[in-house]
Parts: sequence; C-alpha cells; structure tokens
Amino acid sequence: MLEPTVYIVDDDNSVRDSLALLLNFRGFRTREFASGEAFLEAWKPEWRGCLLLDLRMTGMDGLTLQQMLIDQGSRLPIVFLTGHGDIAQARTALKAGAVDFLEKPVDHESLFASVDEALRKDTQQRAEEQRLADLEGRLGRLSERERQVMERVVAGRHNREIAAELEISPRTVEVFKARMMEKMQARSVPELVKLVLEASQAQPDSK
Amino acid sequence: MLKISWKVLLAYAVGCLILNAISQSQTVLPLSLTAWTPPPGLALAFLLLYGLRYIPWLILITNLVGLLLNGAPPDWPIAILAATVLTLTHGALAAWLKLGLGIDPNFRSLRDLTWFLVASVIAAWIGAGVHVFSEALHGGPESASWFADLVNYWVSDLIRLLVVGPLVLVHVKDDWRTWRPTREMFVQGASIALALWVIFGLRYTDQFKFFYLLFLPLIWIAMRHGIQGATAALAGTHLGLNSILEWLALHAITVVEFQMLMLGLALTGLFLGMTVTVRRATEERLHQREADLNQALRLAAAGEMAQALAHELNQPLSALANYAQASRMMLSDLNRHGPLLASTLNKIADEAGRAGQVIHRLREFFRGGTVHMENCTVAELIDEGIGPLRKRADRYGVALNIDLAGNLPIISADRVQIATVILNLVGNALDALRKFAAPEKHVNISAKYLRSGVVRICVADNGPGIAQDIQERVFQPFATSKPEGMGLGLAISRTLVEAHGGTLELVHSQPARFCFTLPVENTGDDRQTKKHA
Repeated sequence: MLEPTVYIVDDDNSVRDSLALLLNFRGFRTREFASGEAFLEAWKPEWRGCLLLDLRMTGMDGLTLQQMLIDQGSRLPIVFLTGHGDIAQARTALKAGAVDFLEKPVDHESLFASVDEALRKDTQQRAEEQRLADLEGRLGRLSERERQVMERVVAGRHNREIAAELEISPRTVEVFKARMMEKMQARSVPELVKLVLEASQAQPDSK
Repeated sequence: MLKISWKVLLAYAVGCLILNAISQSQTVLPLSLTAWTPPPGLALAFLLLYGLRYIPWLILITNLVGLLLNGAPPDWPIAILAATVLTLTHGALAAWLKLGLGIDPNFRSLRDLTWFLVASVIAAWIGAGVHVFSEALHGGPESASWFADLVNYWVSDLIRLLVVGPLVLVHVKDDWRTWRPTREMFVQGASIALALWVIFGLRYTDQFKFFYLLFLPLIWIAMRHGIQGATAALAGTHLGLNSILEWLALHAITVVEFQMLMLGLALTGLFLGMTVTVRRATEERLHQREADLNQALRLAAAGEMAQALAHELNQPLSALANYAQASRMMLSDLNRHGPLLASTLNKIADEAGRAGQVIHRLREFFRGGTVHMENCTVAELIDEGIGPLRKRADRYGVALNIDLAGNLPIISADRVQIATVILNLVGNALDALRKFAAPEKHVNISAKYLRSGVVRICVADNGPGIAQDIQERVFQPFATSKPEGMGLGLAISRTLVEAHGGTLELVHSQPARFCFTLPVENTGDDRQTKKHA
C-alpha cells in the first residue's frame, strides 16, 4: 500500500517548489509534476492522497486533467489553485467533485485545511472501498443454497416458509442459515439486512 | 389641455407676411385671393411640425394677415371660407402623412420626401380648385378657359409648396446663432445669380434655351450640402426667377411655362439633395460603428492584457508567500533548519526579482520595444500622424492647420512611434473639440527648429482646454477626462518621446497646447539604421 501523498501539479517551478517545501514542513509527503500530461502519464489507480492542481497551465489545463482522471476511474480528491477567481470555472470544478478552490497567492492556513480535508476524504473513500470489497468477498464465498437462504431471510421469511419454497426440511434450512450468517460475519438478522443493502447499493447491477 | 406656443404663432405670422409680400407682386396672374389663403407649403409644414391643434390659430392668422395687407375684402365670407377649407385640407394631409404614413417631418429618407410630394400634389389641386371656384362665383373667366386656369393655379401652388414646405421642414432645427456664411456659400449664391443673368440678361439668347443653366448651381449645392443646401438654393432660385419675371412683366403664358420648368428644377434639386443627405447619414453611421468597434477591441485587448499581467505577477507573489510562510516555520528550530532557511531566503529574493522582471517587461511593451531610427522629414512625420484623423476632423468640422518653419532639418527618429505621438495629441484635440460649440474650430500643428539643435513640434487647439483638476496628472497612466478613455495615450506618448531623448509637456492648458522636442542627431537606443539618406 502506498503512503498518502499530496501530488502537486503546477507549470510554474517556483510555485511548485514553494508549495512542496511548505507542505513537507507541515509533514505531508509530496510529489511534483510540471504538467497535467506528466501527471496523467505517471498516475496509477492505487495512488493515495490528494491532488493540488493549478487551474491555468500551458498545455493541459486543470479542468481537463480533472475530467480525464474521472474518466479513468480516479477518485483522487482535488484541491484547485487559481490565479484569478473565475466563478464559472470554480463551479465546474466543484460540481465535478473538487474539494476546494483556492485563490493564489494562497493563505497557508486555508491550504493546510483544504489538504487535510482532501486527505481525510481520500482515507474515507479508501475505507469505504475496502469494506465493500470485503463484503463482496464474503458474498462470493456463499454456496448456491446459502445464497438462496440468505435472500429469503433478508426478504423476511420464516424458516418453515423457506423450507417449503426450497423443498428442504426446516432443519436443513437452520443449518444453511447458521453457516451463511457465519460467512457473512453477521451476528443478527438486522445486521445481515444492513450488509446486503450496502452491497446492493454499491453495485446495483450485481444482482 | 393642448398647449399652444406663441413663438410658433409668431413665426407663422411672420412667414405669412413675408411670403405674401413676395407673391403680392405677382400681378401677371389674377391671384386676387392669394392674400386670403394660407401660403402654400407654410401651413402644411407648420401643421406637420407642430400638430393639428394649431388649425384654428392658423386660420385666424391667415385672415388677420390678409386684413392687414389688403384691407377688408368686398366678399369677406368667401375669403374666410377659402382660408378655412384650405387650412383644413392641409391639416388632413398633415395627419395622413404623419399618423397614417409615419413620415419624419424633418425628412430622413427618400420615402419621407416622396410622400410629401404626393401630399403637395393633392394640396395644390385642392388649392387650385378653391381659387377657380371663387372666381367662378365672381363670374370670372369664361367657361372655356377654366381648365387652363386650374392648371395654372395648380403649377404655381405646387411650386410654392415644394419650395417653402421642405425649406421650413429641413431648416427648422438649425441653430441660427452658430450659423455663419462661408466663402463657398457666397460663390454658390453668385453662381445662381450668374445663371439667371445669362438666361435673362443676355439679350440675344432664347430664355428657355438656357434655362438648364439653373440646374448647374443647384446640382453643385445639393451635392455639397444635401437637402439643406438644395432647399435653400431652390428658394433663392425661385425668388430670383419670380423677381425677374415680375420685372420683365412677361405674358402670363410665358410665366406658366417658366413655372413648369421651375417645377422640374425643384423636383431634381429635392431628390438629389435628399439622396446625398441619406447617403451621408449612412456613411456617418458606418463610421460611428467602426469607431465603436475599435473602442471595444481596444478595451478587450486591455482587459486581456490586465488578466495576463495578473497571472504573471501572481505566480512569483504566490511562491513568495509560500516561501515566507515556510521560513517562518523553520524559525521554530533554527539549529536543525538553518541551512534550509538560508536557501529559502535566497529563493525569496529570486522571486522578488522575477516579479520585478514582469513589471519591467510591461514597461518595455508600452515602449514598443526597441527604437528603429530612420532619417525623415518633420512634414512626413506629421503627415503620417494626422493621416488617419483627417476624416474625423472633417466630420467634427475642425480645420487641421499645419505650420512648418522653413529651416527644418532632416531628423532621425522612429517613424511609427513619433507618428503615434502626433496621432495621440491631435486625436485628443479632436475629441475635445467634438462637442464644443464654437463658430470656428481648429487644431494647429506647428514645427520649429530651435537654436539648441532640437526640433519642437506643438499641437494646439481652440477647445475648452484641460480642466484644473487633472492638469497635474495628465501624463499619469489612467488619468482621463473621456468616459470611454483608458487614460494611457499621454502616458505612452511621453515615454515614446523620452525614448528619443526629447521631452513632452503641456505648455498651455486653456486652450490646450502640447509641445514635444526631438533632437536632430538622435543616437537614441541600440540599433541605428540610417538607410534612407
């Protein structure tokens, strides 16, 4: 697992260098890129942290890079930096999920606050993704029978009704249910319902 | 309550008196009723300009003027009736023209003039009808000639409608206080008189044969001054022609024939004049639009540049702020971060230098970069400078006078830059004179060779001058008295002159007079190209 890093993309050497210095001093790991193209070239899906992105650059501008990253499935939170507060661009950036939109020269307190928030957002997203992946894994380990029983338990059926529907004895249903609850790591039926709901919301097309 | 202006009534009364006095002398035609009917053209023009509510007043004035000039007529009820019927007719025609057809009484297009012509033809027929009818009541001419009479009256009425009506309508808004006759107007008036003299004065010529000569001054005047000139010229020609006909006491038939010719002259003059006026107005509008567009482009360019500049300056400032903040953090543990702090402070100094570079580049940009010296005459420079402004000066009615000393040497200067300075100074003078009401407006551009070996070029106008409050800072950027101005013209001009080793100053502020000097042998900046010997 890579450590969370603040990726700085700015075409101005001094601005990039000074931002890195400031953030390093505050204890953030940083990595610098001189253009949107260079960042896109190097980017890997498993990168963690956040992006500190200059809006106006020669070559690819900030908004274009944001859109291209979204298209490639990146969820890296973005903090925008701009020399001139343009409301229309700020709206576009924020609508596309940017964490913040800071005007240069940037006040260091707001910079730290925004970077902190972006990193927190990234951690949250990562945890969420991790949990969902975990849940998917548990669901994947269920046998065909266990899955059928789970669906009916979640739908609120009693053991006897399930036994009748699946044409097995209520006793066998009990056994499948116990095994299913264990694999799903659910201690109660309401907890199971919650887990199944979460999984279905994350991937609505999986069923 | 409908408001009636006494000035309008007085003007109408004076107009009636003048027109009646002029046509009174027309004894050749039995126009016994003339003084008792509204003068053709005048009533129609007044009703068009001031509205139908004046109808009763105009009838009253017509009759009072008739009484004043002729005494009580033997058959006064008929006289009053005639005046009423004719004024009402003109009122109806005015209403039709203005409300029905929506024409502009001050004649803005050929359409306005054409419909006025149609209305005049109708008014003239009705006027002629009234005259013939009233004569029939007197047992006037034998029945055989009533149609000929009708046509005679119609022609003479129509001419007066076409001469007087447009004259009043077109000139009513003129400001007489600022009007001054020009030399050209005297020559034009004289040319009409000359044409009349050739037609009637030379005994051996056939009068009708040479009538076309009257077209020449009329066409000239209409081409030069549009409908305004054409109406004035027609009035003059008509007056001159009538006086001569009266004086020669010609046979009535001959008079009618001349009036037919005069009608042709009137139509030609009016339509030619209107065409010229309409074309001028279109040109003026195009020029205005072009000027607006240039202004918009300049503003857009300025905005663009300001934004680029903001971005350019923001980068070093941004880095500066970050380095400074980082340095402050390093201070907390100087032992550990000492070397890093030193290098960061160096970076701060570099960034400050970079911000200075941006400002320097901006100044270079305004100076237009390097100076390209060439040998040129002062006359060339002035010519290039005011070339683009000549049309504008014409439109504002400003004379551009150039006064060059005889001993001006060839100087070495950057043609484009010095022409820009002159363009700026003269352009400012024109802007100042544009809305300024003066009988004579001029910009004087003069050049002298001073003993100290420099050429001094001055631009002076006779406009309102430069207001006290901005006098001190006219050369500062963004100081301007023009609502749409950037306030950079004089600032840039001064920089350009100084780049040549000269000075630009405001010598006199009311009226404004700017002078700048140029050294003759200019060693100016770097590249000196003396290719034109």
